[in-house]
Amino acid sequence: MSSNKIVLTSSDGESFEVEEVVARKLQIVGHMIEDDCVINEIPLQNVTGDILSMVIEYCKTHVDEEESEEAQTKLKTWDKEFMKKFDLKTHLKIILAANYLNVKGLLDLVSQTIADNIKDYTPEKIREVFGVENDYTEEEEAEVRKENAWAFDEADTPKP
Amino acid sequence: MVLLSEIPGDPNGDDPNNNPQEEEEDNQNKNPQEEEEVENPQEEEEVENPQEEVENLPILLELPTDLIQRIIAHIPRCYSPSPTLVCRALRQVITSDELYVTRSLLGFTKPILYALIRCTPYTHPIWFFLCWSNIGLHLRRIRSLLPMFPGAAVVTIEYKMYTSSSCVVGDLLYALDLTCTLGYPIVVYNPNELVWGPVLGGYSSYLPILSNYRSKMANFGGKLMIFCSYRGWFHDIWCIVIALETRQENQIWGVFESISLVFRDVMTMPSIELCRTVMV
Repeated sequence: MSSNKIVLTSSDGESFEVEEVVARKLQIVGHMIEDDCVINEIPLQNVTGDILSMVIEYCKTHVDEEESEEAQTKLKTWDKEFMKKFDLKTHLKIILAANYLNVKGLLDLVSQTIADNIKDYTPEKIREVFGVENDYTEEEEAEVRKENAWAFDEADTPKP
Repeated sequence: MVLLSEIPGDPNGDDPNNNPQEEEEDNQNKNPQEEEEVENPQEEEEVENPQEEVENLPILLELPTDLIQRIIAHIPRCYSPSPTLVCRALRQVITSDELYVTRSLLGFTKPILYALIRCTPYTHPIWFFLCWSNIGLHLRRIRSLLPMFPGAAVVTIEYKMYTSSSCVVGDLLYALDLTCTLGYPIVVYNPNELVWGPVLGGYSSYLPILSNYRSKMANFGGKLMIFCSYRGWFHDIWCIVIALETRQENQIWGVFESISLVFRDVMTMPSIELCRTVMV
């Protein structure tokens, strides 16, 4: 594997020197390299240094993705722990960065993490946590509840 | 909200509302250890300045729609009612056709089994779906769906299920509507444009006296074949053939071709339960 180094520079001027093989995990960079648009320094305008460092940490860990079940399990555990380090606001920034830099694995991981939060919350909690305003009228909300009555109606649940 | 409350808590133990004051833009350079120490999931003390808390909330709806869609696509369908109730924008994402496409591309779609159950011979059948919860496998009633007419047909196209006496010709769905809601007794649905329209034409003079309960329609080589009984003449089964034409502005016209008495049994009152065309 090539030991070329590439410097990735964030929008706020922070630079990270990484192995080419790591930089290629950012598909936006991979495509630049393939198109011969790159010498050794790449400015990344839409991501700040703090978030870029997280993306690079993810890519370094995933650079040698082994097929074995044991390695996969280990990576999944690492992924989980990695996501736990950050709060939801950071998750939202990471998803934007993963989308811009085109890091599919990270995009899926952070999407799943945010989704896991949403799915376990009540509507009120989702609004509270994500800063969303309830813009339904009372009638609309009643209508939506009616449409989804199968999930909200305990009376239907048979006894075990 | 049985289903949702039965689900265990967030495995990550990650409560994003914990420490909004520490979530300033410039604090993300912290090393992970620092951040872990600062983040204290459930037991974090109340924030002193509510104003600041509001300003620091992560704003989900500021994400581009395709990313919101991607996140929602990771939520199993059975959990979608809760986010649907949050606001109009999320409901729009959750009920959109695009979400189904995204879920398909990500390989997140899964089969759901629906069952139509009639509790007594005199009541309309009711829709249920099979679900799994901590009480095991069971059928759960879907109250929001209207009861079905006995013997009504069901067609599934991708993630949608069309109910009524209906058949598919080409990419369009046809149904009998003998109440002539749209002015004609046959209506056509375009799944791409999500609109119902009438099948125009003079064929309609043959249909209004049909019995809704005793009529079935099938696609027979691109034509509509209607097996039916006329009200008051329940010993007979008739077959009406209607050809379809697309005319200007994509209007669909029905052209009456023939009507034949195809079955008679004076001792009974036969009715068509099902008719399907098979290519051999």
